Amino acid sequence: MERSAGIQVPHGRGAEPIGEPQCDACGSASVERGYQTHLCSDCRRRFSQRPFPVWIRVTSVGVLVAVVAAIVLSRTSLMMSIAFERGRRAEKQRQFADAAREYQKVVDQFPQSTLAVGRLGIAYARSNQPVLAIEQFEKLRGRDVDPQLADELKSARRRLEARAAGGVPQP
Amino acid sequence: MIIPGLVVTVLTFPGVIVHEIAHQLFCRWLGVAVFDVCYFRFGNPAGYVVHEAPRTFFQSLLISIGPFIINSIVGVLIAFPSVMPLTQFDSGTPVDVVLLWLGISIAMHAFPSTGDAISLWQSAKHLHGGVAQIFAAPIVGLIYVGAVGSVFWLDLVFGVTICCGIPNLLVLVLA
Repeated sequence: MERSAGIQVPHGRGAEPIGEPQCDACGSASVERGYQTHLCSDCRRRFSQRPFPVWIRVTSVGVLVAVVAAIVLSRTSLMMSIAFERGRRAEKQRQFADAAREYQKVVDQFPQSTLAVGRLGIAYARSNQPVLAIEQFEKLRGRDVDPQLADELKSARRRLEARAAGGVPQP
Repeated sequence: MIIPGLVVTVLTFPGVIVHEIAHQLFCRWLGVAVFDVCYFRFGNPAGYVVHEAPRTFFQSLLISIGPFIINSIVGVLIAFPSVMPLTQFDSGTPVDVVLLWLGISIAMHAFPSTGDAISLWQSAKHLHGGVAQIFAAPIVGLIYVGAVGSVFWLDLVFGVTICCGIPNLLVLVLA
């Protein structure tokens, strides 16, 4: 079964009438040249401007509202995604304070994001801010965490604990 | 599990409606007479626009690929804000789910149908002959590949790819 919508074009209208063609719709003799269908310009305009039914207008308005709402909502989504990507890039360049600043923006907007909270905790841990890091780690208690992120979190936590045991001063 | 095309069509009905609106809009903008329109039905095809043969091949091309342009743009715009919260930040709301469904439904019906391909081929053949047919052949071929591919969910893959891929691409560029 063909799922996509189709389109049909009637080609030709049988044998050509003898003499000047007439408009198939109104019978006028002023048929527009260059088309296979014999229509005068008024009838062609009328057919091409065929009105949309009310339910299609209502549906179109609904779709337009969805587009406008989506454009408005896109700003936040885009800004947060950019902040997260910048955080990832800063982390790769070992600029953990910058990474934490970017991740914090994401966590402020999406506090339920395990990924963002986890990365923020790791960035705090690696920028030597153990109190803030542990605060983030605690938020993840009881949540389902991606195995790779879980490994990174364990590693960051172990490093903090080792540093604390070694007498590194807490900020 | 094989899901009948009719079920998919019903689940993604906004895409069919937008597809037919796009055909009709291009006919209107190009001054091509429209004789009948079905925006949605439980049948095959799920919707159609009956219009006269356009005067030029270019008009025929625009009418055939109009839904590809409009459905793709509208689908991506609608899905845009919901993609990241749902896929990356697991923080999607019911509104995000609705927007993603609507966006993908519209984008997956961007593909022109085999009816569009036949219409385009006939226009090339009747209006300009060989040269236009050479130009039309790869487009018609692509449309048929898309139609055959829809059996293997190519239309859904296309919808998901552009709805999720374009926001991700934009983030990589802007970050």
